[in-house]
Amino acid sequence: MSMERYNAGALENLINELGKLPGIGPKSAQRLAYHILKSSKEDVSNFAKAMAEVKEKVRYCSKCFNITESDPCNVCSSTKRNKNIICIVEEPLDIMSLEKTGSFRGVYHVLMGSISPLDGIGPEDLKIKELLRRIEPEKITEVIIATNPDVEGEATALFLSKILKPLGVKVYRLALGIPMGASIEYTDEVTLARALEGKKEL
Amino acid sequence: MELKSISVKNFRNIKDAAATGFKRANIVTGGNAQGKTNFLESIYYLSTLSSSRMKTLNDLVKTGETYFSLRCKVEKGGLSKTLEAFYGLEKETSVRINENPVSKKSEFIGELKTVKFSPEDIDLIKRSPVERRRNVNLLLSQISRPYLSDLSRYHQILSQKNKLLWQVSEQRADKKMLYVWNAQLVELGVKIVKARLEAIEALKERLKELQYKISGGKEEILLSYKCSFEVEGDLTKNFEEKIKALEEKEIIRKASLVGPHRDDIVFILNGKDAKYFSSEGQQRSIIINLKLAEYLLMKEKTGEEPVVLIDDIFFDLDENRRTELLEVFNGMAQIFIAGTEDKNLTKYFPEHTLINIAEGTVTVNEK
Repeated sequence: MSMERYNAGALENLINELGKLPGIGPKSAQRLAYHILKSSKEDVSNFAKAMAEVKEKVRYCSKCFNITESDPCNVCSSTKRNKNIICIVEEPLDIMSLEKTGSFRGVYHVLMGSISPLDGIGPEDLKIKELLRRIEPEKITEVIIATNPDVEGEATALFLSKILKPLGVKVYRLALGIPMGASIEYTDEVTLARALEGKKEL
Repeated sequence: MELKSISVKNFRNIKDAAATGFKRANIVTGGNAQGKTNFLESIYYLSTLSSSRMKTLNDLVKTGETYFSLRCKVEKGGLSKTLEAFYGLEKETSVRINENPVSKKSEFIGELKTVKFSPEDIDLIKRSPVERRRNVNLLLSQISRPYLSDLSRYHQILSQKNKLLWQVSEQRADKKMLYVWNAQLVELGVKIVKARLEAIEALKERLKELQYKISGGKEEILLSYKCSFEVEGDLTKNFEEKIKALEEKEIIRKASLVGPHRDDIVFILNGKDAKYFSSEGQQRSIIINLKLAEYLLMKEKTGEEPVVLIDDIFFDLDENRRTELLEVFNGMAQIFIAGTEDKNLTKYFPEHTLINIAEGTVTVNEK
């Protein structure tokens, strides 16, 4: 009887922990927990090890706040990158997406969020001071603001451009438009209107 | 545009109903409080994803149930589309077009275009600006997709700015930060005001003409947009300046005091505000004409004839006005008309579908 209770408790505990993950509801947590329960001992210990390691080894780059195992990160320490151009993003994951394009040769700076009074986040809660400290010593000439196009991202971009422009750097904002491979016919009116606003000369 | 069929589940007092076989004229009958209005409202919800009055969406869910779901088939220009809407008490919503989930409300609203005539519309004259703004928003949302998307973005900016105003007043944030929200507020606010000005201008002409005609030239009605900033000249500059002038006041009040969310629409009857200087009968007739004007505008702007929902608006109209209106409705692409015990209704629409509603149960009789 007491044995049974103990088992149910461990499973419940696991379901509870999984349920704390983003995007995982109680049903999914249950399914995942049963899956783990049915998996081999080896798989489960590898999984547990991977989780422990990620916390142990992975840290934030002291320069750009990218996630990295070595400090400074691969991008910051690379000799092939143009160190005078910074692309500003909200989250480390945004760097992964931009890196996959292979078309940006500069370096990055992660803000760790965006300005949002509703979430109690002001400019002082973002890595903006750290960004400003890089401009002069690293001879930054160009900044590309790649915050999200939502209202918080736009507010952050506006704030950044206002404080960066007086420092004599060129400030760019990522363009908005029609996704590649999409047809104009199926693009929603809002995106299309934005794309028209951002038209460029050929 | 034509509604071909509808299924309704757990919506107000309708538990489970499926109706099909609609014609150009559809007469909704049944005793008082049997669900005629609810049936019309279910069509309206599939059009606008809103409840018609200032009811909350939770009020639309049948008592004792946890969700409602609606599904209809719409035909326009020979193409048929299936529209579905789901709403749960926990505020879960989902909408689908032709079985495909649609993430943005703005891509769904306007697929089925409707204009609704209802006795409660008289509140548009009598009550607060909130209802007048809501009315023009619902009209424009069906006409223009960017409008609805701009409007929802505008409200997101507004909540951020209001929170910041509160933080500034508590000395927890710097008022210098207000500009990052004001800049966006102005950009979108100007777009919204421009769209509304244009719509009001177009409605104004039509409303004036309709009212002049039915009053035998005795009544001149003027519709006018009362903007919280100056609309002559450069709107962007005017909006910016007004915000600047009101900055301290906004901080003290912890609220944004200028922008389309503070605007109003006024009805001027023979030179006086109709809210205070008109009879109930005059107000009813103005509102019916406003709705007719909205129908005409929607038809002109989109090239599609909206489905018209008419809920019990005849009870206090005289015979002439009644006949005249029924003639107008008779010329429309498709109408759903509800009346308690209107034997005459069937006379005006010789070919019609009869939709009978009794205690939330819907039965259809083709004639």
